[in-house]
Amino acid sequence: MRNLFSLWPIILALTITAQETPTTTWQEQSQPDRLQFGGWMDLLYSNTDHGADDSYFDLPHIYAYADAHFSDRWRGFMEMRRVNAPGSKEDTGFERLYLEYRHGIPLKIRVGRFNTPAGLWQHMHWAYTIDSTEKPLIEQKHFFPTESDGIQIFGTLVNGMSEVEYSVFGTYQGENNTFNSSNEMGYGFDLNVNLWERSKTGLFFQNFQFEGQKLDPNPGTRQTILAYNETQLIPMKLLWRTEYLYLDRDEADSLSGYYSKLRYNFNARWFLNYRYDDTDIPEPNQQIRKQHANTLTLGFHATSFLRLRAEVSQSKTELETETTTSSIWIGYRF
Amino acid sequence: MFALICILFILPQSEITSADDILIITSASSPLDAVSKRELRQLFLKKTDTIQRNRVTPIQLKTDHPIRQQFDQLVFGSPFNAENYWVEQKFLAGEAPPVEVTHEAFVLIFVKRNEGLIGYVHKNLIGEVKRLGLKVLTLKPKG
Repeated sequence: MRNLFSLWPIILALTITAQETPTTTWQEQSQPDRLQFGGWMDLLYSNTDHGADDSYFDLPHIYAYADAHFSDRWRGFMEMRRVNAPGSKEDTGFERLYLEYRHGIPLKIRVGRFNTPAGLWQHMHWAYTIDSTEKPLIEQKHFFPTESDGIQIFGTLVNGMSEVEYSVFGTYQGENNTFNSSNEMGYGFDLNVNLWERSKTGLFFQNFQFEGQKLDPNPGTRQTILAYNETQLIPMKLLWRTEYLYLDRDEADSLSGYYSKLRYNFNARWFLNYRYDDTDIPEPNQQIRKQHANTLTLGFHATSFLRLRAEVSQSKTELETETTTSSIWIGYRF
Repeated sequence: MFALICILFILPQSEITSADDILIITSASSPLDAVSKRELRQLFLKKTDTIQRNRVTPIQLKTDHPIRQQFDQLVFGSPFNAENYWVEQKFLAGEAPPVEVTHEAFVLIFVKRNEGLIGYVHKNLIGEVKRLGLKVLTLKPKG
Protein backbone atom coordinates (compact mmCIF):
# COMPACT_ATOMS: atom_id res chain seq x y z
CA MET A 1 0.00 0.00 0.00
CA ARG A 2 2.90 2.30 0.79
CA ASN A 3 4.13 1.76 -2.76
CA LEU A 4 0.82 2.90 -4.14
CA PHE A 5 0.99 6.15 -2.19
CA SER A 6 4.53 6.76 -3.35
CA LEU A 7 3.33 6.47 -6.96
CA TRP A 8 0.75 9.25 -6.64
CA PRO A 9 3.01 12.00 -7.98
CA ILE A 10 3.81 9.85 -10.99
CA ILE A 11 0.19 9.03 -11.63
CA LEU A 12 -0.71 12.68 -11.40
CA ALA A 13 2.05 13.66 -13.76
CA LEU A 14 1.08 10.97 -16.23
CA THR A 15 -2.54 11.97 -16.09
CA ILE A 16 -1.57 15.51 -16.92
CA THR A 17 0.74 14.28 -19.66
CA ALA A 18 -1.99 12.08 -21.05
CA GLN A 19 -4.41 14.98 -21.17
CA GLU A 20 -2.04 17.15 -23.16
CA THR A 21 -2.70 17.57 -26.81
CA PRO A 22 -0.77 15.34 -29.21
CA THR A 23 1.13 18.38 -30.44
CA THR A 24 3.03 18.65 -27.14
CA THR A 25 6.65 18.08 -28.05
CA TRP A 26 9.55 16.60 -26.21
CA GLN A 27 11.27 19.95 -26.20
CA GLU A 28 8.28 21.60 -24.56
CA GLN A 29 8.04 18.95 -21.88
CA SER A 30 11.73 18.81 -21.14
CA GLN A 31 12.81 22.43 -21.48
CA PRO A 32 15.37 23.34 -18.81
CA ASP A 33 15.07 26.64 -17.00
CA ARG A 34 15.10 29.47 -19.51
CA LEU A 35 17.17 31.65 -17.23
CA GLN A 36 19.82 30.25 -14.96
CA PHE A 37 22.12 31.99 -12.49
CA GLY A 38 25.24 30.57 -10.90
CA GLY A 39 28.85 31.12 -10.06
CA TRP A 40 31.67 30.23 -7.75
CA MET A 41 34.09 31.75 -5.30
CA ASP A 42 37.22 30.55 -3.59
CA LEU A 43 39.35 31.02 -0.51
CA LEU A 44 43.12 30.78 -0.71
CA TYR A 45 45.89 30.61 1.82
CA SER A 46 49.36 30.66 0.29
CA ASN A 47 52.81 31.24 1.65
CA THR A 48 56.17 31.53 -0.07
CA ASP A 49 59.49 30.90 1.61
CA HIS A 50 60.49 34.55 1.26
CA GLY A 51 58.99 35.39 4.66
CA ALA A 52 55.75 36.14 6.44
CA ASP A 53 55.03 39.20 4.29
CA ASP A 54 54.49 36.97 1.29
CA SER A 55 51.60 35.08 2.81
CA TYR A 56 48.14 35.57 1.34
CA PHE A 57 44.73 34.78 2.84
CA ASP A 58 41.74 36.13 0.98
CA LEU A 59 39.03 35.51 -1.61
CA PRO A 60 40.98 35.65 -4.88
CA HIS A 61 38.04 35.03 -7.22
CA ILE A 62 34.32 35.62 -7.31
CA TYR A 63 32.56 34.73 -10.56
CA ALA A 64 28.84 34.98 -11.29
CA TYR A 65 26.97 34.20 -14.49
CA ALA A 66 23.53 34.48 -16.05
CA ASP A 67 22.62 32.05 -18.80
CA ALA A 68 19.51 32.80 -20.85
CA HIS A 69 18.04 30.30 -23.32
CA PHE A 70 15.82 32.35 -25.60
CA SER A 71 14.94 29.32 -27.72
CA ASP A 72 16.39 25.94 -28.71
CA ARG A 73 18.87 27.75 -30.94
CA TRP A 74 19.55 31.11 -29.31
CA ARG A 75 21.30 31.66 -26.04
CA GLY A 76 22.84 34.61 -24.23
CA PHE A 77 25.57 34.26 -21.62
CA MET A 78 27.06 36.83 -19.26
CA GLU A 79 29.78 36.15 -16.70
CA MET A 80 31.27 38.74 -14.36
CA ARG A 81 34.44 38.37 -12.35
CA ARG A 82 36.17 39.96 -9.44
CA VAL A 83 39.80 38.86 -9.24
CA ASN A 84 42.20 39.74 -6.47
CA ALA A 85 44.68 36.90 -6.75
CA PRO A 86 48.30 36.99 -5.61
CA GLY A 87 50.56 38.16 -8.42
CA SER A 88 47.83 39.85 -10.44
CA LYS A 89 46.15 43.24 -10.43
CA GLU A 90 42.74 43.61 -8.81
CA ASP A 91 40.19 43.41 -11.55
CA THR A 92 36.41 43.52 -11.94
CA GLY A 93 34.70 43.12 -15.29
CA PHE A 94 33.09 40.90 -17.86
CA GLU A 95 34.76 37.54 -18.31
CA ARG A 96 32.33 36.45 -21.03
CA LEU A 97 29.45 38.24 -22.68
CA TYR A 98 28.09 36.71 -25.85
CA LEU A 99 25.13 35.73 -27.93
CA GLU A 100 25.23 32.14 -29.20
CA TYR A 101 23.44 30.48 -32.09
CA ARG A 102 23.33 26.67 -32.06
CA HIS A 103 22.65 25.06 -35.37
CA GLY A 104 23.50 21.77 -33.71
CA ILE A 105 26.44 20.17 -31.91
CA PRO A 106 28.59 20.36 -35.10
CA LEU A 107 28.02 24.09 -35.59
CA LYS A 108 27.67 26.92 -33.09
CA ILE A 109 28.38 30.62 -33.48
CA ARG A 110 29.21 33.13 -30.76
CA VAL A 111 29.36 36.89 -31.08
CA GLY A 112 30.67 39.06 -28.27
CA ARG A 113 33.36 38.47 -25.68
CA PHE A 114 34.50 34.87 -25.31
CA ASN A 115 37.53 33.06 -23.99
CA THR A 116 40.16 32.54 -26.65
CA PRO A 117 39.83 28.86 -27.60
CA ALA A 118 43.46 27.92 -27.05
CA GLY A 119 44.41 24.36 -26.25
CA LEU A 120 43.51 22.48 -23.09
CA TRP A 121 44.39 24.51 -20.01
CA GLN A 122 43.00 27.79 -21.30
CA HIS A 123 39.75 26.01 -22.12
CA MET A 124 39.24 25.23 -18.42
CA HIS A 125 41.25 28.02 -16.82
CA TRP A 126 38.88 28.89 -13.95
CA ALA A 127 40.34 28.15 -10.52
CA TYR A 128 37.27 26.05 -9.78
CA THR A 129 37.72 23.73 -12.75
CA ILE A 130 41.51 23.32 -13.03
CA ASP A 131 43.49 20.81 -11.03
CA SER A 132 46.27 23.04 -9.66
CA THR A 133 46.32 26.39 -7.90
CA GLU A 134 49.49 27.73 -9.55
CA LYS A 135 48.88 28.26 -13.25
CA PRO A 136 51.27 26.76 -15.82
CA LEU A 137 54.03 29.29 -16.52
CA ILE A 138 53.06 29.64 -20.18
CA GLU A 139 49.65 30.81 -18.93
CA GLN A 140 50.95 32.97 -16.07
CA LYS A 141 53.07 35.03 -18.43
CA HIS A 142 50.16 36.05 -20.67
CA PHE A 143 51.90 35.48 -23.97
CA PHE A 144 48.66 35.94 -25.90
CA PRO A 145 45.22 37.47 -25.24
CA THR A 146 43.05 35.03 -23.34
CA GLU A 147 39.87 36.97 -23.99
CA SER A 148 38.61 37.87 -27.42
CA ASP A 149 35.95 40.29 -28.60
CA GLY A 150 34.64 39.15 -31.95
CA ILE A 151 33.07 36.11 -33.57
CA GLN A 152 33.72 32.41 -32.95
CA ILE A 153 32.49 29.51 -35.06
CA PHE A 154 32.97 26.14 -33.41
CA GLY A 155 31.60 22.65 -32.96
CA THR A 156 32.24 18.95 -32.51
CA LEU A 157 32.16 16.35 -35.28
CA VAL A 158 31.95 12.69 -34.35
CA ASN A 159 32.87 9.94 -36.75
CA GLY A 160 33.21 6.43 -35.35
CA MET A 161 36.44 6.22 -33.40
CA SER A 162 37.30 9.90 -33.68
CA GLU A 163 35.95 13.18 -32.41
CA VAL A 164 37.04 16.44 -33.98
CA GLU A 165 36.62 19.75 -32.15
CA TYR A 166 37.20 22.90 -34.14
CA SER A 167 37.04 26.59 -33.51
CA VAL A 168 37.70 29.47 -35.88
CA PHE A 169 37.61 33.03 -34.62
CA GLY A 170 38.11 36.59 -35.69
CA THR A 171 38.63 39.36 -33.17
CA TYR A 172 38.38 43.09 -33.20
CA GLN A 173 40.01 43.37 -29.82
CA GLY A 174 41.49 40.97 -27.34
CA GLU A 175 42.69 41.99 -23.95
CA ASN A 176 42.51 41.41 -20.27
CA ASN A 177 43.81 43.16 -17.21
CA THR A 178 47.41 42.17 -17.84
CA PHE A 179 47.52 42.17 -21.57
CA ASN A 180 47.57 44.91 -24.18
CA SER A 181 46.66 44.17 -27.74
CA SER A 182 45.66 46.89 -30.11
CA ASN A 183 42.20 47.50 -31.51
CA GLU A 184 42.99 45.80 -34.77
CA MET A 185 41.85 42.62 -36.35
CA GLY A 186 43.18 39.32 -35.14
CA TYR A 187 42.28 35.79 -36.09
CA GLY A 188 43.04 32.21 -35.27
CA PHE A 189 41.87 28.65 -34.99
CA ASP A 190 41.99 25.66 -32.68
CA LEU A 191 41.65 22.13 -34.00
CA ASN A 192 41.95 18.87 -32.14
CA VAL A 193 41.26 15.20 -32.78
CA ASN A 194 40.34 12.75 -30.05
CA LEU A 195 41.12 9.19 -31.09
CA TRP A 196 39.56 6.16 -29.42
CA GLU A 197 38.50 8.47 -26.54
CA ARG A 198 42.05 8.02 -25.28
CA SER A 199 44.24 10.61 -26.90
CA LYS A 200 43.43 14.18 -27.85
CA THR A 201 45.95 15.99 -30.06
CA GLY A 202 45.53 19.53 -31.24
CA LEU A 203 46.94 22.76 -32.59
CA PHE A 204 46.08 26.38 -31.85
CA PHE A 205 47.19 29.33 -33.94
CA GLN A 206 46.59 33.01 -33.40
CA ASN A 207 47.69 36.16 -35.19
CA PHE A 208 47.27 39.44 -33.32
CA GLN A 209 48.65 42.93 -32.94
CA PHE A 210 50.59 43.67 -29.78
CA GLU A 211 51.15 47.15 -28.33
CA GLY A 212 53.89 46.25 -25.88
CA GLN A 213 53.92 46.17 -22.10
CA LYS A 214 56.35 46.62 -19.24
CA LEU A 215 58.11 43.27 -19.41
CA ASP A 216 57.85 42.94 -23.17
CA PRO A 217 58.13 46.38 -24.82
CA ASN A 218 58.12 45.09 -28.38
CA PRO A 219 55.02 46.13 -30.34
CA GLY A 220 54.13 44.48 -33.62
CA THR A 221 52.41 41.55 -35.24
CA ARG A 222 52.57 38.36 -33.22
CA GLN A 223 51.80 34.75 -33.89
CA THR A 224 51.10 32.16 -31.25
CA ILE A 225 51.28 28.44 -31.90
CA LEU A 226 50.19 26.00 -29.23
CA ALA A 227 50.54 22.26 -29.79
CA TYR A 228 48.98 19.93 -27.26
CA ASN A 229 48.26 16.35 -26.39
CA GLU A 230 46.27 14.68 -23.66
CA THR A 231 46.36 10.90 -23.30
CA GLN A 232 44.56 8.59 -20.90
CA LEU A 233 47.43 6.25 -20.07
CA ILE A 234 45.04 4.26 -17.88
CA PRO A 235 41.44 5.15 -18.83
CA MET A 236 39.76 7.32 -16.17
CA LYS A 237 42.76 6.80 -13.86
CA LEU A 238 46.02 8.15 -15.20
CA LEU A 239 46.16 11.14 -17.51
CA TRP A 240 49.19 12.68 -19.19
CA ARG A 241 49.03 16.14 -20.74
CA THR A 242 51.53 18.40 -22.49
CA GLU A 243 51.13 21.82 -24.07
CA TYR A 244 53.94 23.48 -26.00
CA LEU A 245 53.79 27.17 -26.88
CA TYR A 246 55.78 29.08 -29.46
CA LEU A 247 55.46 32.86 -29.75
CA ASP A 248 56.79 34.75 -32.74
CA ARG A 249 57.46 38.35 -31.67
CA ASP A 250 58.11 40.01 -35.00
CA GLU A 251 61.37 41.95 -34.58
CA ALA A 252 62.22 40.52 -31.15
CA ASP A 253 63.46 37.00 -30.42
CA SER A 254 60.78 34.35 -30.29
CA LEU A 255 59.74 32.73 -27.02
CA SER A 256 58.80 29.18 -26.24
CA GLY A 257 57.70 27.15 -23.26
CA TYR A 258 55.85 24.04 -22.25
CA TYR A 259 54.37 22.14 -19.38
CA SER A 260 53.82 18.46 -18.91
CA LYS A 261 51.68 16.88 -16.23
CA LEU A 262 50.44 13.60 -14.85
CA ARG A 263 47.17 13.28 -12.99
CA TYR A 264 46.19 10.17 -11.09
CA ASN A 265 42.58 9.71 -9.96
CA PHE A 266 42.40 7.57 -6.84
CA ASN A 267 38.63 7.54 -7.22
CA ALA A 268 35.88 9.94 -8.30
CA ARG A 269 36.80 12.39 -5.51
CA TRP A 270 40.56 12.26 -4.87
CA PHE A 271 43.38 12.97 -7.31
CA LEU A 272 47.09 13.70 -7.32
CA ASN A 273 48.55 16.00 -9.94
CA TYR A 274 52.21 16.64 -10.80
CA ARG A 275 53.28 19.25 -13.33
CA TYR A 276 56.65 20.33 -14.71
CA ASP A 277 56.94 23.77 -16.34
CA ASP A 278 59.71 25.23 -18.45
CA THR A 279 59.45 28.53 -20.30
CA ASP A 280 61.28 31.58 -21.62
CA ILE A 281 60.68 34.82 -19.74
CA PRO A 282 61.13 38.13 -21.60
CA GLU A 283 62.75 41.05 -19.82
CA PRO A 284 62.61 44.80 -20.50
CA ASN A 285 66.30 44.79 -21.51
CA GLN A 286 65.46 42.36 -24.37
CA GLN A 287 67.15 39.50 -22.53
CA ILE A 288 65.36 36.19 -22.24
CA ARG A 289 65.65 34.03 -19.16
CA LYS A 290 64.56 30.50 -18.45
CA GLN A 291 62.16 29.63 -15.67
CA HIS A 292 61.07 26.20 -14.58
CA ALA A 293 58.76 24.92 -11.88
CA ASN A 294 57.58 21.70 -10.23
CA THR A 295 54.07 21.61 -8.81
CA LEU A 296 52.46 18.83 -6.78
CA THR A 297 48.74 19.02 -5.96
CA LEU A 298 46.41 16.85 -3.93
CA GLY A 299 42.79 17.52 -4.86
CA PHE A 300 39.50 16.52 -3.27
CA HIS A 301 36.01 17.02 -4.65
CA ALA A 302 34.12 16.90 -1.37
CA THR A 303 30.67 17.44 -2.88
CA SER A 304 29.36 18.70 -6.19
CA PHE A 305 29.57 22.19 -4.62
CA LEU A 306 32.85 22.07 -2.71
CA ARG A 307 36.40 21.40 -3.90
CA LEU A 308 39.69 21.51 -2.02
CA ARG A 309 43.35 21.47 -3.01
CA ALA A 310 46.64 21.36 -1.13
CA GLU A 311 49.68 22.24 -3.19
CA VAL A 312 53.43 22.75 -3.11
CA SER A 313 55.16 24.50 -6.00
CA GLN A 314 58.86 25.15 -6.50
CA SER A 315 59.92 27.69 -9.09
CA LYS A 316 63.39 28.73 -10.21
CA THR A 317 64.49 31.43 -12.60
CA GLU A 318 67.97 31.54 -14.07
CA LEU A 319 70.42 33.30 -11.74
CA GLU A 320 67.84 33.48 -8.94
CA THR A 321 67.20 31.36 -5.90
CA GLU A 322 64.46 28.82 -5.75
CA THR A 323 61.04 29.88 -4.48
CA THR A 324 58.67 27.46 -2.79
CA THR A 325 54.97 28.27 -2.51
CA SER A 326 52.58 26.23 -0.38
CA SER A 327 48.84 26.72 -0.58
CA ILE A 328 45.48 25.50 0.59
CA TRP A 329 42.55 26.29 -1.69
CA ILE A 330 38.81 25.88 -1.17
CA GLY A 331 36.34 26.47 -3.99
CA TYR A 332 32.58 26.77 -3.56
CA ARG A 333 30.03 26.70 -6.35
CA PHE A 334 26.67 28.41 -5.96
CA MET B 1 -3.73 5.73 -21.48
CA PHE B 2 -5.68 4.31 -18.55
CA ALA B 3 -3.91 1.00 -19.14
CA LEU B 4 -0.62 2.84 -19.10
CA ILE B 5 -1.38 4.38 -15.74
CA CYS B 6 -2.39 0.98 -14.44
CA ILE B 7 0.97 -0.36 -15.55
CA LEU B 8 2.65 2.02 -13.17
CA PHE B 9 0.85 0.49 -10.23
CA ILE B 10 2.44 -2.82 -10.96
CA LEU B 11 5.90 -1.56 -11.85
CA PRO B 12 8.20 -3.69 -9.77
CA GLN B 13 10.85 -2.10 -7.60
CA SER B 14 13.98 -2.49 -9.70
CA GLU B 15 16.75 -4.47 -8.11
CA ILE B 16 20.02 -4.13 -9.88
CA THR B 17 22.35 -7.05 -9.74
CA SER B 18 24.67 -6.14 -12.59
CA ALA B 19 25.08 -3.61 -15.35
CA ASP B 20 23.79 -6.19 -17.85
CA ASP B 21 20.35 -5.80 -16.30
CA ILE B 22 19.79 -2.56 -18.18
CA LEU B 23 17.59 -2.27 -21.27
CA ILE B 24 18.46 0.46 -23.77
CA ILE B 25 15.16 1.54 -25.30
CA THR B 26 13.91 3.70 -28.12
CA SER B 27 10.72 4.14 -30.09
CA ALA B 28 9.49 1.29 -32.31
CA SER B 29 9.85 3.37 -35.45
CA SER B 30 13.56 3.95 -34.90
CA PRO B 31 15.76 2.38 -37.59
CA LEU B 32 18.38 1.62 -34.95
CA ASP B 33 18.80 -1.98 -33.82
CA ALA B 34 22.07 -1.89 -31.92
CA VAL B 35 24.32 0.71 -30.32
CA SER B 36 27.83 0.58 -28.96
CA LYS B 37 29.00 1.87 -25.60
CA ARG B 38 31.01 4.49 -27.42
CA GLU B 39 27.93 5.75 -29.24
CA LEU B 40 26.08 5.91 -25.92
CA ARG B 41 28.99 7.77 -24.30
CA GLN B 42 29.07 10.30 -27.11
CA LEU B 43 25.31 10.71 -26.97
CA PHE B 44 24.96 11.02 -23.19
CA LEU B 45 27.94 13.41 -23.01
CA LYS B 46 26.23 15.48 -25.72
CA LYS B 47 29.14 15.22 -28.10
CA THR B 48 26.76 14.15 -30.82
CA ASP B 49 23.08 14.15 -31.55
CA THR B 50 23.15 11.42 -34.19
CA ILE B 51 23.81 7.69 -34.03
CA GLN B 52 24.38 5.88 -37.30
CA ARG B 53 23.11 9.02 -39.05
CA ASN B 54 19.83 8.99 -37.13
CA ARG B 55 18.94 12.01 -35.05
CA VAL B 56 18.56 10.97 -31.40
CA THR B 57 18.07 12.61 -28.00
CA PRO B 58 19.10 11.07 -24.69
CA ILE B 59 16.91 10.89 -21.61
CA GLN B 60 18.34 9.73 -18.33
CA LEU B 61 17.50 9.12 -14.70
CA LYS B 62 18.68 11.39 -11.87
CA THR B 63 22.22 10.80 -10.66
CA ASP B 64 21.10 9.27 -7.36
CA HIS B 65 18.91 6.66 -9.04
CA PRO B 66 20.50 3.19 -8.72
CA ILE B 67 19.84 2.36 -12.37
CA ARG B 68 21.50 5.61 -13.46
CA GLN B 69 24.54 4.66 -11.41
CA GLN B 70 24.63 1.23 -13.03
CA PHE B 71 24.21 2.77 -16.48
CA ASP B 72 27.08 5.20 -15.86
CA GLN B 73 29.21 2.31 -14.65
CA LEU B 74 28.33 0.28 -17.73
CA VAL B 75 28.88 3.05 -20.27
CA PHE B 76 31.53 5.32 -18.76
CA GLY B 77 33.34 2.99 -16.38
CA SER B 78 34.82 3.87 -13.03
CA PRO B 79 35.55 6.40 -11.56
CA PHE B 80 33.49 8.64 -13.88
CA ASN B 81 31.78 11.38 -11.88
CA ALA B 82 28.81 12.59 -13.90
CA GLU B 83 27.97 15.42 -11.53
CA ASN B 84 31.49 16.87 -11.74
CA TYR B 85 31.56 16.43 -15.49
CA TRP B 86 28.39 18.45 -16.02
CA VAL B 87 29.33 21.11 -13.47
CA GLU B 88 32.48 21.69 -15.51
CA GLN B 89 30.67 21.58 -18.83
CA LYS B 90 28.29 24.22 -17.54
CA PHE B 91 31.23 26.50 -16.71
CA LEU B 92 33.26 25.74 -19.81
CA ALA B 93 30.69 25.57 -22.55
CA GLY B 94 27.31 26.38 -21.04
CA GLU B 95 26.21 22.82 -21.72
CA ALA B 96 23.50 21.30 -19.55
CA PRO B 97 23.23 17.52 -19.03
CA PRO B 98 20.65 15.48 -20.94
CA VAL B 99 17.16 15.77 -19.49
CA GLU B 100 16.87 13.87 -16.24
CA VAL B 101 13.75 12.28 -14.81
CA THR B 102 13.14 10.80 -11.40
CA HIS B 103 11.46 7.53 -12.31
CA GLU B 104 11.73 4.85 -14.98
CA ALA B 105 8.04 5.33 -15.70
CA PHE B 106 8.82 8.76 -17.11
CA VAL B 107 11.51 7.26 -19.33
CA LEU B 108 8.95 4.81 -20.72
CA ILE B 109 6.34 7.49 -21.30
CA PHE B 110 8.69 9.99 -22.90
CA VAL B 111 10.27 7.40 -25.19
CA LYS B 112 6.81 6.18 -26.18
CA ARG B 113 5.56 9.66 -26.98
CA ASN B 114 8.65 11.12 -28.66
CA GLU B 115 10.40 9.64 -31.65
CA GLY B 116 14.17 9.64 -31.50
CA LEU B 117 14.55 9.44 -27.74
CA ILE B 118 16.96 6.91 -26.26
CA GLY B 119 16.69 5.96 -22.61
CA TYR B 120 17.25 3.05 -20.30
CA VAL B 121 15.30 1.05 -17.73
CA HIS B 122 15.80 -2.08 -15.67
CA LYS B 123 15.23 -5.37 -17.50
CA ASN B 124 12.44 -6.23 -15.07
CA LEU B 125 10.36 -3.77 -17.06
CA ILE B 126 10.62 -5.78 -20.30
CA GLY B 127 6.91 -6.55 -20.05
CA GLU B 128 5.97 -2.87 -19.97
CA VAL B 129 8.47 -2.10 -22.72
CA LYS B 130 6.79 -4.68 -24.96
CA ARG B 131 3.30 -3.58 -23.99
CA LEU B 132 4.16 -0.01 -24.99
CA GLY B 133 5.63 -1.23 -28.26
CA LEU B 134 9.11 0.14 -27.59
CA LYS B 135 12.25 -1.22 -29.16
CA VAL B 136 15.09 -2.66 -27.10
CA LEU B 137 18.47 -1.86 -28.60
CA THR B 138 21.18 -4.48 -28.53
CA LEU B 139 24.45 -3.41 -27.02
CA LYS B 140 27.22 -4.07 -29.50
CA PRO B 141 29.91 -6.26 -27.95
CA LYS B 142 32.74 -3.97 -29.10
CA GLY B 143 33.16 -0.23 -28.57
